Amino acid sequence: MGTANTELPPPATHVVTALYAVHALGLVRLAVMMLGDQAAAEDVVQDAFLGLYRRWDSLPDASHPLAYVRASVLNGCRSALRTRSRHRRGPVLSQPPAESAEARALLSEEHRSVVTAIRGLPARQREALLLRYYLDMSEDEAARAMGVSRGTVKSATSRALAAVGRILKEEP
Amino acid sequence: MTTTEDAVRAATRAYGETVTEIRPLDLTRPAPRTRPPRRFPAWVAPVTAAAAVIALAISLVLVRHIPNGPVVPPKPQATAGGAVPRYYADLVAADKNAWSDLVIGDLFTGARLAIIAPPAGSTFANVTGAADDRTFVADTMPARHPGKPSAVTWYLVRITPGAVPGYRMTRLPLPDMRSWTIQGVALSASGDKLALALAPAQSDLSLRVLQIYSVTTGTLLHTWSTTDTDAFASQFLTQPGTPATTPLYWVDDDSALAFPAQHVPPSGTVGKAGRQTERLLDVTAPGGNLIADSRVIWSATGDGCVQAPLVTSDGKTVVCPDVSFVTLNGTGNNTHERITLRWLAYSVPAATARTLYQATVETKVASIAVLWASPSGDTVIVDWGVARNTEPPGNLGLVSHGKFTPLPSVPSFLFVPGPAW
Repeated sequence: MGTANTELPPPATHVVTALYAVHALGLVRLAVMMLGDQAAAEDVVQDAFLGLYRRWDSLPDASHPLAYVRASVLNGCRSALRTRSRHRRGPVLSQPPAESAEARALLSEEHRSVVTAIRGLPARQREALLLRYYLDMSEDEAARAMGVSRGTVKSATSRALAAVGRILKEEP
Repeated sequence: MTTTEDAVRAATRAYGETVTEIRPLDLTRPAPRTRPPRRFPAWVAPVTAAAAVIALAISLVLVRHIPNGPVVPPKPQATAGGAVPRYYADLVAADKNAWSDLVIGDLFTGARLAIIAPPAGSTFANVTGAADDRTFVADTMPARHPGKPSAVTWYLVRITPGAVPGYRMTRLPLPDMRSWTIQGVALSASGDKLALALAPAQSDLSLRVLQIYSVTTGTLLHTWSTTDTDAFASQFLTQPGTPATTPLYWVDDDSALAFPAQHVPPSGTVGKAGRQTERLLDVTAPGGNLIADSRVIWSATGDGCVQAPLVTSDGKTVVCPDVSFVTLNGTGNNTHERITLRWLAYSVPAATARTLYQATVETKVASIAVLWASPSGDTVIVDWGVARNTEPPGNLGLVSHGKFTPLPSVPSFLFVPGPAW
């Protein structure tokens, strides 16, 4: 059988890099749907992991680094949307989606309509919808990630679904 | 599920999959910009806080007479979205007499959170985990009696990282299995059911039995049996008094169980290769025949997987370690081999295979394992080593999207049956 292993933990670099390798793509995808812009989404995710790395020794709950990063990504998306809306002096949600050429080529018309409808939702409803149906989180998990109550997640999701359904029906 | 929910799920996933490449993590980049100046006057915060305190006090007065409900022990919550489990439990040798301690460790940091010694005179034999990476079931058997039937004692081990001592071990009312040799052990993802693959310890050695027990009450919930000795990969049957080596996998939200079977042609048969299979048993359906009530979801002729394959929790992917050898220049003891290690993912619905990761080593001996896989099989924890008793023991790491990220090595990971998550 094996012998005793060294007890020295590796540096935070090692852990954060491993977490990034596994989870970053999924988080970038989430942020792209929030922001409609891959470069901005990657910035948000990089910042979230950088924040995790810098706060590693003082994390309130070091056993859940992914929850910390996910909450940071959502916060980063909110900040980016606020900044963008201030700079553009208009409702950010009316901006046309900045889809990549790959997305334009691969997405069906139906999927594109749904994505556009989701982009038109208020930020909180969009977050709730993506966490519940893209990440398959429970209402409790989504509430923890968003920092709101379960009831808020439930009502935001319900309103978001109703709004998306309404928009899709109105389309010719 | 409404049409709109389906449409949202399908569209967001389709859109997400258009993002396939992202830049590597740069930990040297400047810190994000600091928070912009406050938009509200400084006096707003204390006034709001005071209002919140008053509201809380009113709420407490209103709810003080609401009767308390029964206290329900928390059920394990799966790691979100099938995330990589951080904590594991594994057996590690306590001394030369093969007494095993139970080690609780942190996969990401390599730290050992707890080393649990078995009760005096016994050794830990098996450990299996729920999907929350915090809940485990382990059994102990008398030490120093390998080769003889043994009664086992079952324990529930719950870990609390950061607390002291960091774990709680509770004896479970499960039967001692003294008439059986335990071939495989699997705790359901929810942590409330325990599946056991069994073979008789002494009589009717052709019998194979799968039983499911309630973890909390010890009640036998269902039994399947067969006299087909291919079940549980008979070539590698566990000997009495030793740890189980047959991997069992709960899939589809604990509604089915995957188990291996292996047909080995009788000795002397020419031109007939063996066949390695994974079978899926619907544990919610009636029936009691282990073979007739299950179906083959994957099979391979010849050598098949180097080690028993792993079935993902959605039941749609079988991950299989594979090895191929090429002899390089040299003669006699100087002969070198180039060994290609591959981890293959077989899609059960599509019956196709893809390579998750490949590594090449030039050495005499290599071990290879897949230790964990995400529900979709896209992310796996793998391990390989040049020799079992050398230090460092192996190359443990995460494979995701074709990239290998090293993890701190844990020596016992190289030993069958591997860690529990």
